[in-house]
Amino acid sequence: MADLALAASPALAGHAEPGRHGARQGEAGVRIVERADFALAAILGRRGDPAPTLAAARRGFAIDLPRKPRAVEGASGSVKSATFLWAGPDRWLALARPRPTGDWLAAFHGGGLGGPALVDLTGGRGWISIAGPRARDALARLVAVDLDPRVFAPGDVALTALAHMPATLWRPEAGDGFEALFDRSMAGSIWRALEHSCAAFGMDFAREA
Amino acid sequence: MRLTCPHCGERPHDEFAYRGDATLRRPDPAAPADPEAEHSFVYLRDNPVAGHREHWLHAFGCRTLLVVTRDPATHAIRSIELAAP
Amino acid sequence: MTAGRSFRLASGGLVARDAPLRFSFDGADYEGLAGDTLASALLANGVRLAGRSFKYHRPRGIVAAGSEEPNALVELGAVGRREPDTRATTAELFDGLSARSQNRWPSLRFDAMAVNSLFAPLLGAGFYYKTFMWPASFWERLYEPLIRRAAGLGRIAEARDPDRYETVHDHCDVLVVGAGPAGIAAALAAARAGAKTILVEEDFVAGGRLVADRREIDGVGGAEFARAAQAELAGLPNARVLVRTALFGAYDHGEYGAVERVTDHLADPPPFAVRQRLRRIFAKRCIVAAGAIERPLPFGDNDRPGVMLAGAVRAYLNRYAVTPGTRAVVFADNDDAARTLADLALAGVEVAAHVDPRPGAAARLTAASGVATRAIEGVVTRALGRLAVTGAASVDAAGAAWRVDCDLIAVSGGWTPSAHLTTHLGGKPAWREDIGAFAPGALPPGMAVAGAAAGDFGLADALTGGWAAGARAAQDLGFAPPPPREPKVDPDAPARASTLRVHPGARGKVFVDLQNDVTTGDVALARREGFRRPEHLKRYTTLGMATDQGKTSGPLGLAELAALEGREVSDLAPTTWRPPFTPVAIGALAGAHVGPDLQPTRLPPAHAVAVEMGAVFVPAGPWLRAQYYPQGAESGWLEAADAEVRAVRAAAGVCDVSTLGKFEVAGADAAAFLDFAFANPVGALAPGRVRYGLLLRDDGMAMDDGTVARLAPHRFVVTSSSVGGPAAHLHFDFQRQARKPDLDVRIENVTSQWAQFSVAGPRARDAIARVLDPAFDVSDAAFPYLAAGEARLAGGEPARLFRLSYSGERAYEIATPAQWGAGLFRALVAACEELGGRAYGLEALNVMRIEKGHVAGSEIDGRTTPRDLGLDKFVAKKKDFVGRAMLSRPTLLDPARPSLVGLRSVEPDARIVAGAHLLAEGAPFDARHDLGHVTTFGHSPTLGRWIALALVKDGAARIGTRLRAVEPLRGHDALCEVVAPAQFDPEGSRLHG
Repeated sequence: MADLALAASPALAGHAEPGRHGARQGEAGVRIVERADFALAAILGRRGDPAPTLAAARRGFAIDLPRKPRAVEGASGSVKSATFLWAGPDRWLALARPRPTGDWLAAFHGGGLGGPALVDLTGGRGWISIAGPRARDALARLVAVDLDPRVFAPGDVALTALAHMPATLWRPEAGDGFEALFDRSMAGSIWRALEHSCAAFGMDFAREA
Repeated sequence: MRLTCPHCGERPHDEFAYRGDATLRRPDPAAPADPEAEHSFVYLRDNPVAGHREHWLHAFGCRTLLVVTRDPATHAIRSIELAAP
Repeated sequence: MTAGRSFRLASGGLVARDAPLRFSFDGADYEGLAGDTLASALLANGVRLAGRSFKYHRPRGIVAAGSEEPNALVELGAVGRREPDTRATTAELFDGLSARSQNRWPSLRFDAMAVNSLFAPLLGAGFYYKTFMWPASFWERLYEPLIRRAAGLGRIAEARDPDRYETVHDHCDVLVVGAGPAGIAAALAAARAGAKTILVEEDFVAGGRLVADRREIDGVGGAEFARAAQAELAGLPNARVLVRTALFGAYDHGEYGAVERVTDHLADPPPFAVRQRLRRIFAKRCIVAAGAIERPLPFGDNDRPGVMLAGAVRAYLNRYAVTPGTRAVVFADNDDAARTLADLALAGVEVAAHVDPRPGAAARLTAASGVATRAIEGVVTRALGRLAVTGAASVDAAGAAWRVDCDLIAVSGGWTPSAHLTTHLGGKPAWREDIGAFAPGALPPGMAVAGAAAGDFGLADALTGGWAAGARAAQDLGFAPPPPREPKVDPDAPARASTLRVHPGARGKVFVDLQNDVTTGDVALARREGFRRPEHLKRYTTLGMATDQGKTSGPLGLAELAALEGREVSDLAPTTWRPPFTPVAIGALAGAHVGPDLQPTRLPPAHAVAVEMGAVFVPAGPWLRAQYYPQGAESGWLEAADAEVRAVRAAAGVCDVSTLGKFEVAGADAAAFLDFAFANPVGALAPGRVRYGLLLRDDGMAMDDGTVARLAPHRFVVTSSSVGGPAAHLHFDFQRQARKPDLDVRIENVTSQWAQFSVAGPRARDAIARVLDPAFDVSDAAFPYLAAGEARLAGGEPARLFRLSYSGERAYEIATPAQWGAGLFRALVAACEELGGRAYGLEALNVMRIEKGHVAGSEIDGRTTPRDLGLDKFVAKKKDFVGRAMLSRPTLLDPARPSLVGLRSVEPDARIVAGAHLLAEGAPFDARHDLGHVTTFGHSPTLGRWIALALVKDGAARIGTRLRAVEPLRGHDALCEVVAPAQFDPEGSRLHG
């Protein structure tokens, strides 16, 4: 059993087939893309002492970590695109796409006991983008958060429930779409909820390499 | 019912987990054993119509524990604070 | 009734005469027009008999024109779409609609159950409390089946509903309920001010009374005004008008529930369209402009088909261009009668008489309307006719009796504000002397009322009041509303509601609640029997129940009760109105969450591999877990599980335990926190070691168990049971923030991050070695029992290894991030099979843990302490932990408490089942002799018999004796030996094997 290199499977594999779902007439109202090649980690700072974590983020990615539900985008050497989401008091989620090689969060190491703890969550979540002229209408069937663009603006983050399942929702800086992280074990139910809410609008699903 | 999480904003109550009376003080384990106080901590609850101070944890959100002061007759929410500021 | 004759007026109405629609009612085919309701279409075809009443099966016709209709409840749809108790007055007509009347057999005209009327004296209020009692044996055999057949109105669908439903969340600044004049004005004010506005209307056409009456606003017809307003709102980016949307409930903190009928009215709905949509509306402000409901008047046989509310008569004439009759009597005690007279005359309906008890009123209004008719100062005493009205008997002020031939009696007792939504949150309505009715009282925060719902019945008042409410709501939220205008409207004369009681000389039944068949006699009977308050009256007589919810019956019932009590109506409180205002289909509430989507399902990362392998699954909470993996000729769980257990104990097996709750716990005080959360000492665990962990509740009862592994000085990995994962997470987060807020401990739920597999058996180490990086030293010296550490798989993927055993065999739990879980499981199955083993599921896992006496959720049921479960040795003596203080309660130390024992069947084939109760041999099966219960069971191929765990009184003392395990529901009765919980390898030698 020497070379056992295992294939990594994306969260929606076996649940979501690429192609058109729901109504077939005209342009799809919703476009969902699964982002399969990424790394995700939780950064857990010491209670009430964000300074070491904030400093590490500035050093490593030249960004100010958000102190309220916001997303900040940055980059560093090997990491072409990284997003940092506020995810609770003294907690952030760091996303890098595509998945970097090596220890991309090395900047957050050190700092001893006062420094942040890092927890890999790459395997535990699925990641999709939701865009299209009816994306907001479809999401209104899934989340109770007000998604009006004046209320949920680019860069805003919401930790909430999507069809009664925990999810992290945010708006990227550019465009009118949404990004969502969900629990891998609930992928099947998440997909069925998306299918149901998008059916009348027509939905295109694709998977990023 | 809607609760306003200080971090996340106003959300429906089903995003939260109710964790009971927030006025309870766990008897000091270092002090001599006081069975009455232990029993009261676990089983006895006041039900004041003037208002309940209760624990709600934002389970589907930021996982913060909140102390909510709520009028049990009208359901009006008087205040929401962080349990551990 | 003249069959075949059309009662459609030649012109007028909001119906499309170029679009005839075909429909059927009780098997007969008819034609209607687009814009009709089923009720207006039936009336257009001269069909006046719509149903049979609930209790007495009296013939009934259409009474109203809106959702307050009490009588014309029909059944629509077929098979899975069948919907009973639908009001014909709100059912939008579509081509191919098929409806059936209810509560009659064999037909509407000849209903055999009308025989109930003969027993009327026995069927008064509360009759079911006084009858069907003797003999007792008749109840199940005769009375109940009879009552079931006789009672009830409609029949529910008996097939699965094939339609789709959904829930939508709407957010707005101002919600306006009701698109009548007040609601339209309020919505315009708020929307023009820039507030995000939603206007909901339960009807399919906006306008309320503006489309029912002939009104003029600023020189424009009411219907045209409504249409133009709707168009303006629809064109604004910050406003929406939702028709066919019934707001059914007001909930706390600005949440409102509404149901939108999306495709009920379409013969051919577009694919993927939902049938109905639940709207959860979150509004900062709400303006209730729900209008008012007309009051009927009490007189004898006032339920005959052809007795209608005057406002409804006008709606049928003006909106639907339908005449509900050819010769009418108008009976009212308010000036609205002038409008009714004029509209009837305009439609060419002969007005046989106008009856009004107010001195001089009948003559005055008749003269003013210019209609040629007989003005009678008096009251109608009785409606004549049975299947339809044939005449009206009246008595005038002088006592003279009049009998007038007619086929329609239009009645009006004034109007009552529709205040339901304002009381859903506990507010009580307040009596308004000026309108003689209850109107909204104290309002919940953020809610205002306007128009007729507020008691402002005049059109001008409705428009200005609505505008003011909308403007104020917008202003409250920081918007600047444009200035109001004074609308010019045609005059109207709103009046006080009637206090009329039935004439003392009236004969026939006088109904106060048409839908529930409650008469004035019932009210009097209830009062004689001591039910004298409105809430008691309601429960005893059923007045105000069912779909009517007191809309047309409440005011009449209250007035009758007050009169009998010699009190003012204002002294009595109407019964509490609660959501829903109109019936809501359960399907609409369920939305997408039906069938397999009732609740989220959670799948472990290797689920698809198990499916490929032909596993049979069992739900464990939200998780789907493999119960067994049948191979070859194995049929059923017993054969497969036996083979799996044998394979594990003989060679090696792999079980998917990815569903376990898993948590990373880090920080300077991680050890201290875990010492507080767990009952056993875990803080002193050395890095690279794992141990069992027991969680207690504050009351000392066991809550869950799992493991605690220390990977580094300030880094732990904790597991809980699968079903208990979310509860453990809540427990940790709560204890950290509520009890230990000063500790530096950081907790992350990684349940779905790691795929985890238990590899067990004498060859387990060999199996593990085949998937691990060869550089990792998995020898016993380097990785002894209870070791824990980070490793890599052969292909370089990260892994974690824990040497734990649930089965009692040499065992390892190996974890890898979930994206590689499927691949690792495949590799492990292959490795085990090469070594003579196989995958094993929950059934085999359960058998092996019973053989070893290990507890799980079936024993940790919330009523057992560590001592009960034989886990006392784990409980720490020195440190403080959750639940410590209550553990030492004397009652929890009583040896007679049920405690954990093992059971094995004396006869190898006698099955001991979970839930069976334990009795001494020869003891009778009753509560007094009950010694405990079986918590879990399995078949042990190792011991060659059925085995179980049980909680038994004086458990320890009973070891070595025999007990019977009895489960009479399925006929199990097994004689068992009581043994110590660990029945197999009690010394644990196989762990190191």
